[in-house]
Amino acid sequence: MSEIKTVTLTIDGRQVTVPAGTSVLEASKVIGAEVPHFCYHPGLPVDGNCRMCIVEIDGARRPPVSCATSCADGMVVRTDTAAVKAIRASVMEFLLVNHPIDCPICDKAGECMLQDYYMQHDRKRSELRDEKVHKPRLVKFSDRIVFNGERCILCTRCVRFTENVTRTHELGIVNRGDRALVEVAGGGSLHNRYQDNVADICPVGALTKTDFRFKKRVWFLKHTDSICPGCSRGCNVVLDHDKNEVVRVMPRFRAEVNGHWMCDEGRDIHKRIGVDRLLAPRVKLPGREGGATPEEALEAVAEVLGEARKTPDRLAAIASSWGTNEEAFLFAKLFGETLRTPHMDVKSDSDEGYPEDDVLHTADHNPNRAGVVAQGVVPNDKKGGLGLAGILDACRRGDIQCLVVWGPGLSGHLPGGESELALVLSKVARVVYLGWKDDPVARLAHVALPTPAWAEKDGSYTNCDGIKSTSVRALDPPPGVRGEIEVLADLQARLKGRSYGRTFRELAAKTGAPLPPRRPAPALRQPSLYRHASGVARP
Amino acid sequence: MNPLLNPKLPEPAYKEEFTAGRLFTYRNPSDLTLWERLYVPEVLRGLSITGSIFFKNMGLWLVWLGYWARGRANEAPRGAVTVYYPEEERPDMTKVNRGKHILTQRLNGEPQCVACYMCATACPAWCIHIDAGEHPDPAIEKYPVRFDIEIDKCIFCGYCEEACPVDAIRLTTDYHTVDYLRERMVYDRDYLLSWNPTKVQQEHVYPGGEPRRG
Ligand code: SF4
Ligand code: SF4
Ligand code: SF4
Ligand code: SF4
Repeated sequence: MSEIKTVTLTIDGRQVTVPAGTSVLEASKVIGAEVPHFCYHPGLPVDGNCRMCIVEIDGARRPPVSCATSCADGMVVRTDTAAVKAIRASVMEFLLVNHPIDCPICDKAGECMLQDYYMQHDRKRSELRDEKVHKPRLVKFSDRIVFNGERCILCTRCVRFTENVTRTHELGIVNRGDRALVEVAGGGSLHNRYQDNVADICPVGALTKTDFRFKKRVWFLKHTDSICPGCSRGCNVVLDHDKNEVVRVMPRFRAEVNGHWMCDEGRDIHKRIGVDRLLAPRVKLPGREGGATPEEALEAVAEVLGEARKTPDRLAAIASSWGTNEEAFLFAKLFGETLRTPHMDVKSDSDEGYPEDDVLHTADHNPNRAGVVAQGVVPNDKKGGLGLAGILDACRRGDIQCLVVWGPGLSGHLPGGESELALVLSKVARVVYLGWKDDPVARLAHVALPTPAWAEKDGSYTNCDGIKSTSVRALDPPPGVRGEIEVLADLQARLKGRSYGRTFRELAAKTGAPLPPRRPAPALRQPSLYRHASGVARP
Repeated sequence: MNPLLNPKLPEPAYKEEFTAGRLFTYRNPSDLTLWERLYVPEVLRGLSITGSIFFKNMGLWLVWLGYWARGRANEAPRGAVTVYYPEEERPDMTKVNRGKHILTQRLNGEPQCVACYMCATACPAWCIHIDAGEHPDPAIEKYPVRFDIEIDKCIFCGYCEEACPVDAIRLTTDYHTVDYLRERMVYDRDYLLSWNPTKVQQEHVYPGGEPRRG
């Protein structure tokens, strides 16, 4: 293995050793000397147009921009001299000359670099006595992105994103001086599948997402590390939520998974949480019909499985590819070890979504097929176990007496869809469904148990490259809905199987899930009795 | 002597005492006399004070009744009865009293508010609830689709008024926030906008003089 060449330099009187080729800006981050910058973004090529990251380097003819200067051995850098501070203040003044400063109605306010740097490096009143230059506002770049030319500081981050990341080249800067403007090439609209990223990387509020526009001020949001279940890339994301509702999904940097980015499908994935939910258990067993409490439904499942374990050859279990590693681990133990069925396989829960592309999106619209398989949810070949197609065929022949389906989407595996599903399931004596969607299987099953959506539970996922990411519970599940881990551990206990733990943290040691850093609990807000007021008659 | 100027503060006076097997620490040792510590006589003395005031007021009220029967209630001594709210109001309410909110209007009667949530952020009682929407006029851009104030939670601190960048919310001097229905004590946008501009403008007093406009 070849040695990585390093260089040693001095920044603000402190020695720092970095790989050769590192920019001075990145090297300053290592020692915690923050160099302010607008146009530099670690995921994009360097442009050096905003001049905010200027530092003093001994021997240089004039202070250079630190983002475009590579570290050299023996370099002496100063990031906080009076001259540097004066330059930063001038750059800020220049950027703010024509800036509308309409922060009250700007969605970026609160996470705006211009606001933050103004407070840190400028704090002067505007000297401008003339009318500010007006530019087009509310330009629809596409259905997802709205552009406000007045707020734009012409950092070209968005342009470089479409040039280098998506390579679709839609955006460019037209005109010069104070008439310069970002425009969509040829008067068209943004048409790539990663366009929401331009709003994230825009250092100001010039690009806003129609989806998030005016929904929430950012300081009300709570942030929870999660993953995107939209495809098997499993992009690491942050769910921004408030009042038990996800408002925004933002990418979380993870070099080996998604880098800085995520696709637009993942931005919208939180909208699936509230749709078609199975909210209460359903039991349709003789003598147990009608509404059941979660406890009664669990007992019914235990009874069905207890009956089925007498003939393990006629029991089949189909796992969800949206399940977490920990759940899959318990699922494999419950059916493979305790109930000893050879027929176990994983299915696709979802087949809708963007087609595969060469940026991030994969062809598999399920986040954890690899992980579920790796946890042992596979047909037992030694005992003639059947795969998914085999199980469905066996059901059709009437060879399966008890079928456990975890997660929605089984009808997608039958060419005849829902009508064929009804036919197949009518041949099975007992069907148990476990999932968060009100799926056709849930309506046909003898017992259906609701489970939380991925944002409502802790768990780890293994992506298409075998990299594990952990998703932390951001929302409370609907009342009375218990997580799969708890349900499976409970069934294991009722069926007298081995106990492997009932919480994510207990099981994470067995599945090798990376443990998320514990974030400080958000400040408690008293539950409000407030209800929307309109429609109340007033004297 | 100012204790801030004297770094050597005296030891805090306290007394420790074992009572019923537990150690009690008294920060302020009692300086009561034996008579006072007998407890019952002092309680009776207290009761006699409140009782005498009560009976005096009752007597005055009976006198007031007599005046009232002759239609001269205004001249009577008031006694326990201070103000017959809501028929009467205190004449000495200050002109800068903070009361019910209003939303100020644009010339066409629309709210001046740009739904920036500054008031909701500043509000210590968390009683302002806003939903923002896209205004059809691009010059306005953002406006409140919904603007509710839970007046029963409001503590009338005036922070909302102070936080507003566009002078869109004001507290009037009107303190009649009572109601028989809790639901009606959530004021919605249209109710907050339904004030009579001429009336409120006359009544509104700015403690620091008229605010700078524009
Ligand atoms: S971009 Fe930043 S500084 Fe400009 S209006 Fe928006 S929040 Fe304010
Ligand atoms: S729109 Fe935003 S990202 Fe693009 S050039 Fe302007 S400020 Fe930079
Ligand atoms: S007066 Fe104070 S408590 Fe009442 S709404 Fe305004 S900020 Fe909130
Ligand atoms: S602070 Fe003023 S403009 Fe902002 S939401 Fe409140 S009332 Fe509206």
